[in-house]
Amino acid sequence: MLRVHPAMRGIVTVANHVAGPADAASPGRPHTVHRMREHTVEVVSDSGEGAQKCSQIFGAVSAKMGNGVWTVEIIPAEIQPPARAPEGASGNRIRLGAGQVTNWGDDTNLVVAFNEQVLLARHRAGALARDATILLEDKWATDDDADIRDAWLQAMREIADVGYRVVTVPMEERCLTLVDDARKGKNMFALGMLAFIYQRNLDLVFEQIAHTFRKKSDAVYARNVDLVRLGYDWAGAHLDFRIEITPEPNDRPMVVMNGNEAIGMGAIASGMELCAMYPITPATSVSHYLSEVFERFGGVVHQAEDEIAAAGVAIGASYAGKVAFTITSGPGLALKTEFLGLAVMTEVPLVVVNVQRGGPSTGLPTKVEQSDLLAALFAQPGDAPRVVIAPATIEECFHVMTTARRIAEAFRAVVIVLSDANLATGVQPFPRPEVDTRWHAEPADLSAVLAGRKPYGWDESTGLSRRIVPGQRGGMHTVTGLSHDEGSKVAYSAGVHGRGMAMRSRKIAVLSSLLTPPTPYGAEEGDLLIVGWGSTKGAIEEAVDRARAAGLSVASLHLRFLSPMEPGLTAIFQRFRRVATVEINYSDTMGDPYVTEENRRRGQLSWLLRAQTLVDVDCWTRVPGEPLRPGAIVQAMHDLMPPRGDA
Amino acid sequence: MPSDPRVHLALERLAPPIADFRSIVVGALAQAEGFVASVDPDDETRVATARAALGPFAEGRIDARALVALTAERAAIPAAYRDRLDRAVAVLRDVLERGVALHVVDVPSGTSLVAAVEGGLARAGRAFGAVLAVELMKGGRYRGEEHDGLLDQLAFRSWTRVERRFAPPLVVLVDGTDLHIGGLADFLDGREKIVLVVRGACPPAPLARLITPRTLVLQTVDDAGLEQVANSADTAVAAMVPDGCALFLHDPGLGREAWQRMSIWNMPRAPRQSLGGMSVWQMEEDLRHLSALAAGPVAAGESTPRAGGAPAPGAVDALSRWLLEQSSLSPEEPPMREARS
Repeated sequence: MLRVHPAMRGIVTVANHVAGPADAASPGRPHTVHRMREHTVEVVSDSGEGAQKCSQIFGAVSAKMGNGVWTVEIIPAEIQPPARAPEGASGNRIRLGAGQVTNWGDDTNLVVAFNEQVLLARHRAGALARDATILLEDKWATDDDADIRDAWLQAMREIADVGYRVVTVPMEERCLTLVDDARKGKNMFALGMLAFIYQRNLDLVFEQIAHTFRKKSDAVYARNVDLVRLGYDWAGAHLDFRIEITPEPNDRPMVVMNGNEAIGMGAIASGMELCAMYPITPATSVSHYLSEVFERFGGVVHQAEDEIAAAGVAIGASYAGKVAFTITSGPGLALKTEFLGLAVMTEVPLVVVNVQRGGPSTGLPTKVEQSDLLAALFAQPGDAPRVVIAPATIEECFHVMTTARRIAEAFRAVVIVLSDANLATGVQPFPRPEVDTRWHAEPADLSAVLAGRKPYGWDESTGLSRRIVPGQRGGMHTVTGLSHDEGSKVAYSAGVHGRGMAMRSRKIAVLSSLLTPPTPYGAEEGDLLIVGWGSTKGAIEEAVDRARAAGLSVASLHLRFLSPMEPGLTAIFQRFRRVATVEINYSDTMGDPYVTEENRRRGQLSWLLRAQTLVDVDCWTRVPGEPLRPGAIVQAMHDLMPPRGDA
Repeated sequence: MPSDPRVHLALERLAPPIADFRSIVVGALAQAEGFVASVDPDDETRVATARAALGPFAEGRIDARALVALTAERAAIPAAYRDRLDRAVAVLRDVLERGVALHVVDVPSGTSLVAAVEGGLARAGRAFGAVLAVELMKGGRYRGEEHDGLLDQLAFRSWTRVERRFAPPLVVLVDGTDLHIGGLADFLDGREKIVLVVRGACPPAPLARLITPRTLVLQTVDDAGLEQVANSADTAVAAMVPDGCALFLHDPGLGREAWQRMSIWNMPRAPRQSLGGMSVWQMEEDLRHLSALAAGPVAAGESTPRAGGAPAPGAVDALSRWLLEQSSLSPEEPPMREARS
């Protein structure tokens, strides 16, 4: 029988799923198997209770079993937030699908919550479907502390009006039969329950546990396996439902990783040899990953004393003949500003990965935002044109590094790769890359410099020049951040300064000329075109599909190159009655006090597009500290849809 | 490849400098292939290469053909030299394909050790010749009659200072009776590393005469110390000798004086009969030379010099006192005052 606490009588409802045949092979009580195209589950706990580990293992196993997966971390801003506080909720949302899953979806269907306060956090965030099933640790209802019992009752009252189906689970009680400290066991118990519910292959689960705890002792592995079995058996004996999401056939070999791992692997695949960094959330895990594996491929991770030094080291390494990269997040990008100017002026190739988070200042270190676009383009005294590229998927996080390195090298330019916290921590399977050795940079050409060749021998029409690296015979020259001529001679004359500016700017125009116009998703023309960039692609395109299915004439366009901007946008925009951006950054809302059409601060891409195309590009932006939900975007599409007759 | 397990052990220990050499060749090959592509009249090949180099992210987003038109420098070399360019690439590939076997020399019994080492280095040195040939072609300075020889063998004596810093390490399997060492000194330059794996009986201290201030010299029976050989910043030579030989290490990093740099673990008695053309007297001389290098300064009150290692406690004080006495700087007897009086 399900154990239902007296305080929850009246709020326990039965999920209204389509029932399938019972699975006779499973243990315990009879249960109904619900066959679905997709399902979303969250595991939430206090920080330090391992909900993330549980979710990561579950997500990886699901991907290995062929399901589409997208995971999003639910993570507090503090390293050690207070226990049993809604603000401290830590865990993951995992959206599973029969086919590819491109975003975290709208609502969660199943929650495993280690206490009622973290459950409240998700409830208050509007994250849960109204018919969500909640597996909730029940020990707090009978806790010795009256305040805790009271908090439990308050929480139950708060969620009582929603149609959640709450199933209490004696997680701690059961775990204590195997371990002394249940805080270090519940997550594996929860993993066992999920493995039962979603019919995961236990051998794969154990393999993944072995991988996850590969640096721990055999005893730790064995204990975790026992805990998983405990959770699995408990679920089999006490739950009356299971979920089946049959993967679509796919014979392509797949890999599964998060965006930061993809960036690290992409850096290796692109032949980069130096990553200089200073730890900053949410970028740091790129260097964590690289520091484990980079040396095997001849690379070095250099943790500098600060963000500025990290940029300096990367520039120095690039100057010496390779293309190095540095990784950071918003506040770090601000600190690197002066050195980025030096790299632009000296035309030292450099790749900067900026994993965006909420800002300004320390802002929201662990939360997603797309607020660094304008900073990436313009935050620089003087004119310092640089290339800005934004990958839109985890797969693109891998491949963008090769393209970024190549552009940096060919154009002697600074290339900023704008990722974000959603891509950084999200996990998604994608086809295994077929690595090509031609992705690697050629080694520095140290042959003698031909007579007459200058260190900035700009081609007059393109601004491109051939790089001279230290050690080349006949290539000796000074390198300076001062304005200089082709021979790298410091020169303050107006003509020389202007020419240098023109040459550096022209490279961006040249790159623009090489870019192919993008293709809208959904339709080539229509009423509304949504323009996005970065990690919102999956949510926007799902929203387009839903809106078009509902009869809306809407399409989307997702940009990867933001400087230079992809060509042909004006012509594309003119085929739609209204154009608007959807972004995770701040914009004023018309109707807010003092906000007028003239002074309105707009979404960052919106601002750029208006300047670039002279089209009246509107925007719908939010800064919720979490990824956008496709349902919310669909609603925005309805709101943005031009009225009939509005040309 | 010789089956002697010591050869494989030595190759394992020399893996870092072998990797250094191979990385140079890999880099040179990539550059040479890039140059071949740049002189290749086939635009489609150049475009395909450029497209691949941009990676899958750029597919459908960047026009690789236009990029090639803008950025690729089309090099020109005389048609007559095109085959030399291909040959240079082939040489580099061949050097890489030979793998570690390139770094092993088996000296047939009764033949010249020095000639075998010279041949081994020249074979590997073809890579340097090929690199130079490609560079000359890039710069339009290749002259057939003058430079064609670069692609055959490039003797060690022709290597530049930079090339000697990336010299290919060698493991040399040689009979103890053929250990005529003197000529090896010519190859101990830059960062050359040579490990001799000695077959059969051999003189007790064959490497003693190779000791110079900047050369790491090791005699060992097993792989002890070979890691130091591999990681030495300077030139190094080692011999894996049979039991009963002198076992020592001369490590240039350990001090300015010879006795500070010397460590001797086994000093055998002088042999009683000649071996492989080495007279008893020569072999005794090698041992005496070794002892002399390891002898520390004579401390006051001691009749014999101390062997390598730190001076005995009090020896430094005694030596200082003796020096003061000799220079008449002792405070008890101020020499200058005496001179004036």
